Amino acid sequence: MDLNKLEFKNLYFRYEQGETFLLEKATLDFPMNQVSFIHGSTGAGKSTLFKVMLGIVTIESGDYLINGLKVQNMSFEEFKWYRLQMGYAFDVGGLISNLNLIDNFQLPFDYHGILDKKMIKERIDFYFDRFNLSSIKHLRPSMISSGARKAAILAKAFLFHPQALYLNNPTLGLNQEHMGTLVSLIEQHQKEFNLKHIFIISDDQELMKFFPQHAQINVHQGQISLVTKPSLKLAGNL
Amino acid sequence: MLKAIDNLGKYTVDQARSLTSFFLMIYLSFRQTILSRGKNLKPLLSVTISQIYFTGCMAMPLIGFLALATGSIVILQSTHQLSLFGSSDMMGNLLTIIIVRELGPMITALIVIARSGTAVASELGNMQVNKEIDAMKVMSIDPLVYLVFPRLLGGVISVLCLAFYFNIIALGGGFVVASFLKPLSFSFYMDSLARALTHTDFILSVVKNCISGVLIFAIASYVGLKVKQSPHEVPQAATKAVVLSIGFVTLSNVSLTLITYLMGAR
Repeated sequence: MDLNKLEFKNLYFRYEQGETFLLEKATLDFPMNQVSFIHGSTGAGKSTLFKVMLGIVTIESGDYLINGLKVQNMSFEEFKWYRLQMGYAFDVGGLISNLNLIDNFQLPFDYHGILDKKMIKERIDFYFDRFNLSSIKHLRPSMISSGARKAAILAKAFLFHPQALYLNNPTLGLNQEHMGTLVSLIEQHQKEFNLKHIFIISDDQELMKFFPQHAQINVHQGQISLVTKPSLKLAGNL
Repeated sequence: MLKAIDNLGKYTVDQARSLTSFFLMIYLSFRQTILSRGKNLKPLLSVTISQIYFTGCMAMPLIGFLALATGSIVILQSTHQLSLFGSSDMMGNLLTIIIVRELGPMITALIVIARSGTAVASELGNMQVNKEIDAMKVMSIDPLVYLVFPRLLGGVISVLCLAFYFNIIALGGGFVVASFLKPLSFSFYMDSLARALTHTDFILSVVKNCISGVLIFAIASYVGLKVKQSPHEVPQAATKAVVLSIGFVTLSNVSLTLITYLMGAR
């Protein structure tokens, strides 16, 4: 099954009753099959937008539709398939602190009982090698440098060969070498696997240069809008 | 006056809402685990075993020490006091009621609250702050299945085993220590205990410890998962878990004792 359509219709979201809405009457048919950069001022709700899109938080009203199906009506189990098609890289955090890197990567495979041991090892080792994490894979997240931690967070987003990739400030604290790895991995996953939709929260001009035909989504005062829509479907431009 | 009534109403609604989501968390953690049909057995087993190790095994020295002290004191005092009234043959009954039914479950629960209740609340609180819970959801790992259920299961098993261990050390070790100060006949002591212990004692002890285990770990998990974004909420959550656990465990133990007596069981 493919992930074809992501849509918000008059969506309202806030973290607590009584607080202001971070998403208010948000309506957008998200651009698919391309790279979309998400912009907005600090605290505008960009990370919250990702949390809603990934089903981490529950919306207050309105509709969030995936392939025309209402996400808010799905149980955790029912949403599982869609979620496994989505790779998410947090801006900071997102690794389990009492597990070493290899266990962090292995946990979702063990939990879902996906793939056999050999294939899991091969896949994990592939991403460790790409981001030069092999020598520190037996260390816990608190024992490695922030740059390596960021690389691990990014690598983890690709683990399940997702159809949609959500990157939250991917270049924050990332060195040039790892940025190149990230872009080449995106390109490889677009060509060899099923990666189709990429959403990136970033104002990094250097990263944007790799994707010249990207779409731009703006988050402002609870509203989300498509600023530009490219005419071309694209792959990474290395 | 009206404002006071409003506040009381709001407080009642908030408490009812919290209580509902607390029981819902327990129910869903069991339901989701059963629905997963053992596909995730390996990681769940690993978390459960860790929980048993940290809650059960690591608490054994402290529980052992307290059990020995409690057992010695109770045995010494009861032999002395009962001999004054010529009722030494009642010693077994007294020890069963005090140690097996009452002190065993209560002291075990208090130690587990102090050691593991705080640990679970702060661990889950920190995980919430570090976005580890969100990271699990992103990987479709249900925190209720991966975090809450193994802690409930491991916690209940640990509390049951620790209470049994407490009883053995308190009744066995206590006798040995008390014998140094006041010579006691081992055969008389064992005979008195064997006559006094009934299936009611066993059932009451198991029920009390199971409920305590569920309450301690469900409260700690609930309070820990309620932490939002700030690290300063973590110690507050740990304190809250201790206060709530002591309150609810005491209430449940007292209630069960009252029910047993009202039902006419000895």
